[in-house]
Amino acid sequence: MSFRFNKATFEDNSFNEQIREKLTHALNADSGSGSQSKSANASNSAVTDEVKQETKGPKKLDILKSGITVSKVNFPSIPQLEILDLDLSAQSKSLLKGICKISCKDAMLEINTEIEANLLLLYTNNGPAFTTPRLISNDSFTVPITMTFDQIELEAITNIFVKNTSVGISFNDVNLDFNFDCSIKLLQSSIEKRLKGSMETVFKDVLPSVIFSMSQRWFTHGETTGGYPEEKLQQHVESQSHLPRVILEDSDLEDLSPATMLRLSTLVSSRQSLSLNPTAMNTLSAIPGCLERQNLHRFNSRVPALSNFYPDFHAAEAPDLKLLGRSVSSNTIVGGGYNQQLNTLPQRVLDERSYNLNTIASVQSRIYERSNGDNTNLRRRKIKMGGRNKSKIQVSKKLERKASVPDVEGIAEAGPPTSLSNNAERSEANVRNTPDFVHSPRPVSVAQSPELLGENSAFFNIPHLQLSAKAGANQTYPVVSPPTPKLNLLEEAQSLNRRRDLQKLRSSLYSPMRNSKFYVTREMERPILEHKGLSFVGLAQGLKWGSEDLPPPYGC
Amino acid sequence: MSFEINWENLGEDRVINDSLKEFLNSQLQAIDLPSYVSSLQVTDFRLGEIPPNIILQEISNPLNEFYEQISNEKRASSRRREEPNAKEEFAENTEQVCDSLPSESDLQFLVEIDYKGDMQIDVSAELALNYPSPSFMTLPVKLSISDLGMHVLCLVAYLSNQLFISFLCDVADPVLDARESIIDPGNSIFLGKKGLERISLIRSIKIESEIGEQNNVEGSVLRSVGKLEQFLLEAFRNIVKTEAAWPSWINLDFNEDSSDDDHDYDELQR
Repeated sequence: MSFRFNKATFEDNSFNEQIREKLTHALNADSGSGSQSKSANASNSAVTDEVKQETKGPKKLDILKSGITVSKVNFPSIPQLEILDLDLSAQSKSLLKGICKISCKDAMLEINTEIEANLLLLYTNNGPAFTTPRLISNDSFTVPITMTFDQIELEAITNIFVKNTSVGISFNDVNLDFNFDCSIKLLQSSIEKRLKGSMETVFKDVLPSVIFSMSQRWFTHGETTGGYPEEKLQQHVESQSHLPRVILEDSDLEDLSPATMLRLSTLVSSRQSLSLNPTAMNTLSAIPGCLERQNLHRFNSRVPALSNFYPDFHAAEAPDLKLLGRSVSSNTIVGGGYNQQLNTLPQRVLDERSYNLNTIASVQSRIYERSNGDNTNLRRRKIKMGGRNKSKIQVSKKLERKASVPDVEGIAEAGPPTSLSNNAERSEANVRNTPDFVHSPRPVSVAQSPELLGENSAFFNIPHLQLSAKAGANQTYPVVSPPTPKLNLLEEAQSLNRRRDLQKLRSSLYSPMRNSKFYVTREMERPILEHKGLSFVGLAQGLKWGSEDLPPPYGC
Repeated sequence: MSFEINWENLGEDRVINDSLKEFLNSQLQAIDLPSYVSSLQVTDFRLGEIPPNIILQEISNPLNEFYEQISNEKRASSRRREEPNAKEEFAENTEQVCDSLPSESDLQFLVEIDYKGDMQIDVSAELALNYPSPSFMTLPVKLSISDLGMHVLCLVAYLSNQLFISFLCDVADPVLDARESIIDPGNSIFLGKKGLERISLIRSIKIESEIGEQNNVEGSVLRSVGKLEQFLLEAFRNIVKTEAAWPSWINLDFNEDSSDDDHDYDELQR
């Protein structure tokens, strides 16, 4: 027995009483309406359903003269619930999935009601008076009836899905057996036949929906928070299911900037032409601003990480692993080239004391920011030890932006937006100027393409053309130039540096081919930390290009 | 320089293990559990025979972040105090205190902790369905945790009577790296989008689960549910990571009186 039931509830009869009350309540509550009874009993399936079904039959004939009272419920043996298999988050929707075996023995149930025995009785209440004839006698003749179910035995295999706040259940293999005894022997066989015939719907429809709606109560409020208007809930659910899902309208597409649309179309056309350029070259992107899946691992490998900062040590330590990773990444083109990068500090760095504590701390902070976004809270628990008391634990949540890296904040605020907007401008200008190149990668042989492009005069002119197109020849970098008042001297110097980097970047970002050769940047030795929002541009700007991968097969 | 720990006297000592178990249990008692989890307790605790390897790498001045945190707190608390009755004396005081400057006695240890021991913890809990009556149906769950492996750099800073503990980063370790790849071989397929992990802190851990209880002969106990173990592992790792890995930290405050929360208690003591 995997699940343990509380024996006390069974022994002191409280469970039986509760079930009895609930059953009585449920059976009387939904008289009249033809809807399926959502009774408030869950745990003992077999019993309740029989009753429900049983009462349904007479109800349609409207011969019930009084409410139904459940007079006796008895579970001499504790039901068993055995868990056979358990699976966590099998699908994204369900959190927990289990297979259970339910078995229940020797249960007993007795219900009382009164039925109309006068078959000639005319129901005059609802009809208009002039249609009713004058009757000498129209008396009803009620007969009490007692129905007893005993030796109820149930064994079922069920699938149970537990989602956030609800339990879904389906019965797969149900074995049910009971003895039926009716105080009016005439009716016994017909009622019994009906009951057994309708059992299938009970286990397929009634029970799952009952348990589902009940379970929402268990989870949200623990125990009984009565009076959940279940029918309303049901209606609500139904009405919601008819609502249309998200619809993409034309206006949604208008929100995309022309630059983005161009980029997308370029991407699509490059796919159609089956151009191999993007995979052959050691660049993150052949099309500006687009990162392709097969380059993702390169992108990831350039994210500031401890392994980037101490690459030499890593290389010396585990050359085998690295070779392995390389071969994997170069062989597989789609998807699979991603190998998990470990962010660990090499032991040798520690031993040789060649680490810098501040660097490590800031790398870690940056990875944290990157993975959590800007608006998450930082957990910094404060535990008071004063006065030897284990007093209250305060969780001081600070906006981590303020607390952790204030020294790069000024730069960071100025940084990403400018580079982004610059990039957008540039890419637009670039597309305008060299439409041939960007739009449709030609199926020329790869070895020839550098020369071809080298002769392309428009390509050399990118910086000038772009600036004149936007802001006039004399004005350089209009977006960067108004310096934020926050910048102190040092930071200004840094931002000046960045402008220079931007210039380099601008040329390098577009294409790896310039001046008749592949452009592999080697200026920057280390990943830089100044840019907070690690957008694609900010990243490509500061990091080594192609230092880890194999060199391009032709001139460099 | 590494610490020498007299582990032989510690590891298999019943008294120490039991007192640690008691301590953990008392901590667990204090936690507010959701209604469907009951009687969570540590049933067994063994430190094991293999000692941790603790190496003191460096003693230096505390990082700036710690000072900022303290001065932020002071600023916040002084603002809070000024509001009800703005006394001049108080204002002067707080201005002086506001910037917490490095003092001579501040120091920070950089410690390398390497543990690949055989510590074992057994935890048991019950999942309860409180529906018709309280704990009407319960499902006992037993977990045994072993093979804990970690190799990290840890910062321990002491300044202005407060102790900061934070795990800075993992240290590459061939043994643990190999274990890690064994633990989750297919993981990257599902977590591919996650990218770089900042720190995994607990590099390897083995959780064995046992669901259900065998009271009678009939019925079965579900053992070693892989998905559950994986799930718990991730959850456990995430908790430690969010609570104690840089840039988060745990701050132990040894100041006698500081905030309003402790005020009553302090008065009682006097």
